Amino acid sequence: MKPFKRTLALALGLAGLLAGLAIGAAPSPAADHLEAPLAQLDGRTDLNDLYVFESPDNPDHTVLIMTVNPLAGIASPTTFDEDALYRFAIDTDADGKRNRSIVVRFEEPADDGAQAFRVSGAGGSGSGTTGEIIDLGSSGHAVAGTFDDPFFFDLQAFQDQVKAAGGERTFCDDEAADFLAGTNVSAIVLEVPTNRLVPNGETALGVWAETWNDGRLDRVGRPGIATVLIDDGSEDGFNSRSPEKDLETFGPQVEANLLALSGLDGSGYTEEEARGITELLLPDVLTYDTAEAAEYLNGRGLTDDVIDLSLTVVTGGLGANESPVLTSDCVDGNDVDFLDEFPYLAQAHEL
Amino acid sequence: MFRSKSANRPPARPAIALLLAGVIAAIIGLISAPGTPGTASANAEPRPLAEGLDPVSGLAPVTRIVDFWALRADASPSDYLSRTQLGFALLTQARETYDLVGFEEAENAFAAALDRNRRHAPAQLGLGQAVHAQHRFAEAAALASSVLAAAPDRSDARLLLADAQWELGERDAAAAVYDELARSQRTAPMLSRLAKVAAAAGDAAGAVELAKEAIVLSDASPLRPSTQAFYRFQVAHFLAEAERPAEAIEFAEAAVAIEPRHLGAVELLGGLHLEAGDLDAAADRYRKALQIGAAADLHGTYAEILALQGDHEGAAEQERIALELAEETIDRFPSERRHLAEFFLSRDPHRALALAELDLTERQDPEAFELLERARAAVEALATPTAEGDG
Repeated sequence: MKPFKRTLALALGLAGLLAGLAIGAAPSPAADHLEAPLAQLDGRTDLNDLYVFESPDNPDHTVLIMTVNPLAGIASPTTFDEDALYRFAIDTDADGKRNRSIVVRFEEPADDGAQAFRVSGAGGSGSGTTGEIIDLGSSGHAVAGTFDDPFFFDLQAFQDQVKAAGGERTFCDDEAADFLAGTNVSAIVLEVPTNRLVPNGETALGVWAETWNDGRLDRVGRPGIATVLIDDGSEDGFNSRSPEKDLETFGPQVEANLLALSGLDGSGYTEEEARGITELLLPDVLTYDTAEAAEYLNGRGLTDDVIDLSLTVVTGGLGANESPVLTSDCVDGNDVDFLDEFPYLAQAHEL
Repeated sequence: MFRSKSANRPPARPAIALLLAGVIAAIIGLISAPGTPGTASANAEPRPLAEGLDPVSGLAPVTRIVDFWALRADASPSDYLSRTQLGFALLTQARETYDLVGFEEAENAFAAALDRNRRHAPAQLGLGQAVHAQHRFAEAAALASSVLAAAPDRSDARLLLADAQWELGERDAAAAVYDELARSQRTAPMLSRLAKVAAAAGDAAGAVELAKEAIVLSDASPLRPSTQAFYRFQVAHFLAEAERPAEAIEFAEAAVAIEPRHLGAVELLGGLHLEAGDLDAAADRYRKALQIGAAADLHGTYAEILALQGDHEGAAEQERIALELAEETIDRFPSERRHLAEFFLSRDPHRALALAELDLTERQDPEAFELLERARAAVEALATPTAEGDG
């Protein structure tokens, strides 16, 4: 048989099989988006961000949001992995170990892309289909689906100025922009009675989000820890471990990176200061005292400008001389307004 | 308990909160940024999916992805990230549509990204893929080597280099890299390469099994329909090579069921039907193939089928179009040289020989030498008087 176009099809198809899942290489890590080789393999289990804050609707409720599928529909799917487990892990005694959890599991997408899902665990239980708000009992509720990416960040300036990626952008230059404007993520949004998350009479908890499939694939507590402070090449190891040993295992590299980043202007943290901040940031658990106003680092709200705070912290702002190298990326908010009621995230952008 | 541990941490939260408040106040006062945080008064139901996405892969059509990145690139003069992603989207579009100009457009997008950041490894590797697709294999190898000089362990760069080496005839070196990478990443893309190596070594059955395993592994991920179809087409291709046509048809049909515009699978079906003597089915498939992508060789084979069916007028018309397309393509797209050499073997052996010689300058794989030999034989056959001629 004459091997005309089919050999071309074979060659072109084969040569294209580098990235595998979607189109192209991973754009670059942002927040916790695309931070590790393993996470980049499948956007469905690549955790982007975790938000934990008091419900604007009900002060006795806590809202928990995890996002996956960076640039959903463009660089990642818009579906959840039916073989994976999505978990909000809750630490109630500050030891970096999980005491309670809320687990979300999905079924295979139907022909229209919708997926049945089930929530179980500390927040109550319920089941439904993506895109629908479901009841979890005790006035709790949940939704999973595609939304606007709530994270806002000048990714390229970060790459060029902090990661020395080779471009010429700097924070707050003429092209300052939210790289994630107009992009979507897949999100799981829960609103549950706070007393289901913490023991009676207690108000403090720690939360991290994690994805599992034959082992932990990704985890995130505070934004950007794995992206900024964990060494390139160590991210998969970091993601695969429980936070309890973060300080012991990853403390030295976080401390070294704090010293390096804060020393860019020649007057960085002292070793003692860097060690103290490392102990503040690790284990990578988002701490939240429900008795106090939720504002990052106490929980994380959708409008909190975590990048400005993070830049300040990692580049020297907490040292004795309080002279951070960087204080802002000049992107102060999301590109679209958040909703003032459940599910709080803005609607997905039409692609 | 939790609070007491927090209290022992050196920089206390109030210091951070004050710092944050000061920073935010300063920013609000000094900088006008696009968009401000806020809340909307209107509620809205969450959308289960954005419009226009493929329900299986959850990905937008490639044309929309191209538009998405192109708009971003246009909006930001220094943005090499979006230009790189535009390049990858154009590469995918070119592969899905068989539009060879698309590879040039992708090359331009990657070059534009590198103009803005010459060290951006994804753009270097994307450019490597774009030139590889245009059969500039030595350039692709050089780009991969350049990335590896800075990051010796990058598996995507090693894979691009090995793919280029394979085409340049350095097959042992390429196969060694495939083997090594497949040991640590037994993924569908790696199994596809192992299947290619097995087929080149004459182990057609082994190639089929590896390609089938690639389907199983690939099905665990939500791939674009074109990629899902590719894995099935790949099995069909190796089955055809192994002379197992019934099974080959089954897998090629599966590919077409997923992606009706998979040109390789459609053409393979046409070829298999032609070999089986089912001219109507072959003609139907070739007509479909020509609707997907016009090419001299496709028109040429369709002409042969029409002639076999007795439609000599139609065959002549198809042959005319084939020759016209061949002339248009011959200098414009070096990646078509091998196909055109095959096309001219029975039509103009001297031209086939010239093209085979040119093909050998850009890749030195065993197929290039084999094609050259066949072209030489065809030319010699022209010079050899036939018995009838003697008479």
